[in-house]
Amino acid sequence: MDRYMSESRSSKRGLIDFIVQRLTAVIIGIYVIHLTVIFALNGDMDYIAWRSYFTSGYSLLLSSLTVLAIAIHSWIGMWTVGTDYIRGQGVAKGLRLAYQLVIGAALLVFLVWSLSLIWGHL
Amino acid sequence: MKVSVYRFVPEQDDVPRMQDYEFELPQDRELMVLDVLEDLRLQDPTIAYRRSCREGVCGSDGMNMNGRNGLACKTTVSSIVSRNSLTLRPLPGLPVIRDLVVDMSQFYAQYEKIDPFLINDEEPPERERIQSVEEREKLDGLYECILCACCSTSCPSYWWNPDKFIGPAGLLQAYRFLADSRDTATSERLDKLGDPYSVFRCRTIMNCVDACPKDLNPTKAIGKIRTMLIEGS
Repeated sequence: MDRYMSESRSSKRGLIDFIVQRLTAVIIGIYVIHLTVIFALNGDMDYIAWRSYFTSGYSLLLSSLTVLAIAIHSWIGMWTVGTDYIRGQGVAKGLRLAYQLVIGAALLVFLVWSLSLIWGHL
Repeated sequence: MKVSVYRFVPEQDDVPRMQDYEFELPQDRELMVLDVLEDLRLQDPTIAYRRSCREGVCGSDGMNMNGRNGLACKTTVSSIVSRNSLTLRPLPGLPVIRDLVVDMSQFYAQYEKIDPFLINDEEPPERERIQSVEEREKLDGLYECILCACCSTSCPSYWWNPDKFIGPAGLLQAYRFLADSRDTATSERLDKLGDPYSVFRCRTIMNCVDACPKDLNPTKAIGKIRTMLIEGS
């Protein structure tokens, strides 16, 4: 078959990014709806109730999962934006790598900081 | 009516310029944009543009008219004119050869990438490979593409990555062969489309659907390719 066809590439990264982007979006969506419902049902939440909710096992897990999803989702999105607007070789390539480094570092800080906030009060 | 035409001869001019012409629209009949250009060329024979069939079949006279891509031969002046003025520019994003004539090499290179021909390794039957009516119907809305490039050149993803993103026109044709019951290279074709650029640069903004002079729907075809890729993985 290949003898008829032009040279082929076999990367599946676009497909994987596409699926991961949507899965993480679903996780973030579920978390937002879930929090909205919790707050709507418990309008008079005091600090004790708040704390006991956010230190419960499933809340810790769900919050951590969501923070991780935001980091991954943002990375794929920002990587795409970068490769759209900063194109080419030479200086542009250096600029693109610097951009990716800054975004990656910022997301890593966000991730570690958020996780330490979520787990720090135990 | 004022007609403003993009003029640029890369060998002579440093920068492109817009040249204005006065054009008297007839009261008794409707004109196409191509008719206006043909008339202007009598005034000024140096205006360069492509045209051939003048009936929306050959796809030669794709251009940007008052900000919208389309075929000059099947766009009526009344449908596009605004405040008594008409601005004609070449298709956006492609290198200009002269005035409204663009270099389509990159566009064709993307078309070539999708192997735009039927691939079938099986022994050819004596007469022809038969399709059922249903199988044939799957190609409706795909095979009609005339490769005028109005869609791809209205697509920001194609502007940013014309060397890597196949673009709506090429992807519509990619799906035309993926959907063909006689083609046996489906998985090989899909294998070439999973990278972050070829298909997945499409952000589904549907400029292509808006621009297509043949009322085709590349966005839908791209969606179908994505589904095939997900199901195939």
